[in-house]
Amino acid sequence: MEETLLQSKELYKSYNTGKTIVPVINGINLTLYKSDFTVIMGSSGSGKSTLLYLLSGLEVPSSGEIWLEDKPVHTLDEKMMTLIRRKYIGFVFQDFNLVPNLTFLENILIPAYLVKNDRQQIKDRALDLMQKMKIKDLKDRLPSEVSGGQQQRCSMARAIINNPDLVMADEPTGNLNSSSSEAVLDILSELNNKGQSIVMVTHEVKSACRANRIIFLRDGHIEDDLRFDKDLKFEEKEVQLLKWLAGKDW
Amino acid sequence: MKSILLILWANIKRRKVQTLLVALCIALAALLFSSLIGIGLGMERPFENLYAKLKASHIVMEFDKNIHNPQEIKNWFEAQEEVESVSVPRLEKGLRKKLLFKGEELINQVQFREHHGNTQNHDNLDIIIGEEKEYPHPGEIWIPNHWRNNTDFVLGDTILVPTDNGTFPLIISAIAVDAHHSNGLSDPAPAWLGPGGLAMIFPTKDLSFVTLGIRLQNPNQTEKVWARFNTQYSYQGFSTLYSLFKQVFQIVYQITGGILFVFAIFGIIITLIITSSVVNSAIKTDYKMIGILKAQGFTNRNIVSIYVLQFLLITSIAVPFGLIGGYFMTQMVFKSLIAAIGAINFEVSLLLPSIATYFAFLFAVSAITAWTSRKATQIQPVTAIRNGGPPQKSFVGSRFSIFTLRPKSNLVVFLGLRYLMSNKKRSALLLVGLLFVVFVQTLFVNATHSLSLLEENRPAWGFLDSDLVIRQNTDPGRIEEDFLKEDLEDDDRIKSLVKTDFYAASIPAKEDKAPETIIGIIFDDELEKLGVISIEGRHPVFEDEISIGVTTSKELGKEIGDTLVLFLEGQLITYNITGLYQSLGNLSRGFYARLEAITEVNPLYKLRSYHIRLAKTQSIPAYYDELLTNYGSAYTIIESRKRLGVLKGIIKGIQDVVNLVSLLFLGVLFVTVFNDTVLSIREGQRNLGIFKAIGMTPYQLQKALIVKSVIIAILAILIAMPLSLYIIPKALDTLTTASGLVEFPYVFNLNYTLLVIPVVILLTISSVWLASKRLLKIRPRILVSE
Repeated sequence: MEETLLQSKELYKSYNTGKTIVPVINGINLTLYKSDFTVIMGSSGSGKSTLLYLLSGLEVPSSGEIWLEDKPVHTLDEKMMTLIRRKYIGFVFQDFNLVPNLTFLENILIPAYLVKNDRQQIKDRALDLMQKMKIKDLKDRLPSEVSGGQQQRCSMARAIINNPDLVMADEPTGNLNSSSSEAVLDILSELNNKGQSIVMVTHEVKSACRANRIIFLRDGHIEDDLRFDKDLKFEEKEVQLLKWLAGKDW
Repeated sequence: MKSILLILWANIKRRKVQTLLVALCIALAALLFSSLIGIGLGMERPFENLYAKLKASHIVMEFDKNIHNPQEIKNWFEAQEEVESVSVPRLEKGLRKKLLFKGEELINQVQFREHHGNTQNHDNLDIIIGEEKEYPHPGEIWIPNHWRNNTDFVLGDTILVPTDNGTFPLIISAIAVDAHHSNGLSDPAPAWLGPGGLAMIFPTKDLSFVTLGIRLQNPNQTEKVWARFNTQYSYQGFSTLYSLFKQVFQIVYQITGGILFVFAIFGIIITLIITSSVVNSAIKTDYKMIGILKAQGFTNRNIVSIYVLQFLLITSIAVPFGLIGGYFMTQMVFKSLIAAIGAINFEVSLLLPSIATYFAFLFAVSAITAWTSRKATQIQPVTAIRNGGPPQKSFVGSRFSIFTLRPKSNLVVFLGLRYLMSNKKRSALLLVGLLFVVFVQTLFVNATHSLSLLEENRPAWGFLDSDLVIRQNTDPGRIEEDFLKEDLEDDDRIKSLVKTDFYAASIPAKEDKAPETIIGIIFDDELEKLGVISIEGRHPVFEDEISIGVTTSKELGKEIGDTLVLFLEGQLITYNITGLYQSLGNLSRGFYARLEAITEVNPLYKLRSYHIRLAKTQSIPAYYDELLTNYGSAYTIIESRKRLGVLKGIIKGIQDVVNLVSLLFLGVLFVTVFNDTVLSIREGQRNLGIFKAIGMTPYQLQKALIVKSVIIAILAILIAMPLSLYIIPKALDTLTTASGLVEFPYVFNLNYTLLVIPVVILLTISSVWLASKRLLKIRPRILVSE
C-alpha cells in the first residue's frame, strides 16, 4: 500500500497579465506517494514548472487544495508555508539559484541553520554531503567561480541538507552538459534509492527514465500518468517511454 | 535620440518608487538651498527697505543742549553737500527706573523721545497698530513693536512712568517701528511722546538732552562726514553711525543664515550621494540591458545620455517643488525673525534664488550622474549578456571572521553583514549620508541646549552674573551719603556685592577716522565676583589698566599689552590693555575699567548700580520683594535674569529655524535609508527569492536588512559624535564671531546627545521596515527560467 505524501484537488492557477487572464493549470487532481521518483513532462507552456511551484508552496493557487500529508498547504499564510517548506521540501532549480555572494558551504548551511540548533553537527553533515557530491574542495568558492555542474551539485546538497520529505527539481539538468547531467541524475537516483521522494520536471527522455512514474501535462491538465514496472531496466524504460510519448505527439 | 528617450521613459516607469525618492531628496535639498540663498539675499533688504521708507538718519547724535547748540550743529550739517536732510532737535530722556504695566515692571529699558511727526519727512515712524496720526497726543505714548515680544500690549493700555513725584500715566495709542531700534537688541530703546510730551512728565531742568539725526544721500559717506564734523567741533555727546545700526540689525540673520548655510551644504551633499547611489544601482540592475543595447549599436555616450537625461528630467520636475517649499520656509524664517526684531511685514523676492537653485541643481545632478554612469561605459556586451551582472568577488581570506558563516553565527546578523559588504560603495555612501544627519542632530541638540542656558550661563555670553541689580534713581549729586551700601555689606545673605556703572568715553579722532563713543563698564571690586570671563589676558586691576571687547580690539587693531588712549572728563588718558572679553549684549564693543581709573580724573564720579549675588540658600524673589519694600521708592530693583527677556525673544526666532531644519534632516535620514533599502532589495531581488525558497521568512529577511542599516547608523554615530564634539564648537564660534562671540558659549549635554542615538536608530529601523515591506511581495517565481 503506497503512502500518500502530497495531494492536489481541483487545482487551478491563472495569471492576470493586466488585460487578459491566462489559465496555466486547469483543475489538476494528483497524488504523489512517498519514496516515489515522479517526473512531470509536457511541452513548453504546458504548466510543468507552475505545477511544481504550486505543489511546493512557492506559488499560491488560484483555487483548489494542496495537502502535504495532513497539512492543508493551500490555507497557510506565507510565513507558515515558509516554515513547512523549510522542513519538508528541498528545491533544486534549473538555474541553480545559489546566492552569488555566499560560498558553497554557506549556501548549503543557511537552510540548515534555519531549522536546527546543533550547528557543528550541521556543518559536519554539510561537509559530508559535499564530499559525497565531490565538491568539498570548493567549499570556500563562490558560485561564479565554478562550473554549472558543480553549482547544481551544491544546489542539491542545499536541497537535502535538512533531510526533507520531498525534493523537487525543476529541470535540474537543463543548463548542464551531458556528463554533468549524468552526475546530477545519478545523485537524484541514489537519493531515491535510499527512500527519498523526488518530483522532477524535465523534458528530456533520458532524465525521465530515472523515475518510476511519469505525469504528462498538456494545457494545464494531466493528460496521462505512466508507472514503470519496478523490475524494468533503464533501456526498457526508455523504449516504453518513447512509445508512450509518441502517442502524445511529443 | 528617440530610442534614448524611449529607454529613459521605460526606466522611469519601471522604477517609480526610486524616481519618487530621488525626486523627494532633490526637492528637500532644493528647499534648503533656495531658503539659504533667499535669506542670504534678503538679509540686508529688510534693513535697507526700512531705512529708505522711514527716511532714517545715518548719523544719530545725542547730546546735552547746554554743551552744544543744536541749531548750530544742524546748520553745519545742512551746509554739507553729502547731507540730504537734518532732523529737528528732539528732546529725549532716559529713564533710570522701569516703566510699570499692570503692576509689574517692564523688562525693557526706555528712552523717551519726542516725535515731531512724519511730515518732517525724516526719522519717520511706521505705525503697525493704531491710528495714523502726526504724533502722539498729550497723555499718549507710542511703543516700539519689539516690546510686544515680552508683554501683550494692546491699544488703550496704560503705562505708568515712575517719577520723583509719583507715577505718570500714559495711554498706548499706537505700536510703531523706527529704523534704528526695531531690533530689540538695542536696550534702552525709544518710546515716543508728542512734542512737549516730556515736559508734562519731567521738570524742565532735567530735559537737556536732545537727539539730532542726519540723513545722507549715500550711506557710504557716513564716516567721512562724521570725521569732518569732528575736526571742526569738539563734540562731547553720544553718536551712533549707520554701520552699527546695520550690524545690530543683521546679527540674527547672520546666525540663522550661517546655520542654514551649513545645513544646505549638507543637504546637497546627501542629495548627490543618493543620486550617485541610485545611478550606480540602476547600472548594476541594467547590466544585461546595457550589454544588449551596446550590442545593438548604442555608444557609451548614448548610454551615459540615458541616465543623465533621466535624472535631469527628475531634477527639473523635483526642484520646483523644493522651490515652493523654500518660498514658504523663507517666508516663515523672515516672519519669525522679523517678528522677533519688531520690524514690519516683508516680502522676499525669490525669483533670483529660484533661478540660481534650479540651474545649480541641474548642473550638480547632471555632473554627478555623468560621473557615476561612466561605469556603464566599461561594461562588455558579451560578459553582460552571458552573466547578466557584474562578476562577484570572493570573501575568502577576509581578515574579519565576522563576515564568515560559523556555527556560532547569528544567521540574521550574518546576512545583514553580507548585505553590508556586498555593495561596499553604497554602504559607504549611506554611511556618509548618515554621518551628516547625525552631525546635524548633534549640533541641533547641543546648540539648542546652549541657547536655552542663556540665563544660567550668562558670564560666557558676556553678561554680568548677579542675582539682583539695584540702581539709584536720582542724580548722584543729590545724595550726599550712600547708606545702601553699608546696609547691603552687613547683610549675611549676600554672597558678593559689586558696584558698577556704564561710562561713555570717546576714542579720539585719528586721520580719516572720526571720534567714536565707546561705552564701558566701571566697577569697584573684583570682576570675577560677577563671573566676568576674559577670553585672553586678565581683568584690569590698577587705575591705568583696561580690558576691551574683542570687537573693539579688532576694530582698533589693539591687543593685550598695547595702550589705548581714551577721551574722558575732558582729558586724554592712556590705559594699558590687560585683557579681551566677549559679550553678546554690546557685540563685544566697549571696555571694563576699575573705578579708580575714572576717579583719578574725576574724584566726584560715583557708581550707581549694585550687583548682588545671594548665598545659594537664599530665594531671589523673596529678597527682591524685601528690597522693593525697603528701598523701592529710591532705587530701581531688577532681577538680573529678567533683563535677558528681550534677547530671549530674538533667540527663540533662531531656535525656531534650527528646529525646523533639524526636522527636515530627520526626514532626509528617513528618505536616505528608505532609498538604500529599496536599492538593496531591487539589486538583491533574486537572492531574496532564493532565501525565501530555502525557508527564510520575510520577517527574517527584513531583520537582516535592518541589521545592515543599523550597523551603518551605529558606525555613523560612532564617527560623527566624537567628531562633532570637536567641530561643532568651532563651527559655532565662526558663525557667531560677527555677533561679537568669538567663543560661542557651547555647552555640551551628554544626555541630549545620547538621545540622538535612539532617535537615529529607531528612525533607521522604521525606515528599513517600511521600505522592506515590498519583500513580502517578492515571489520565488522569479527564480524560474521560462
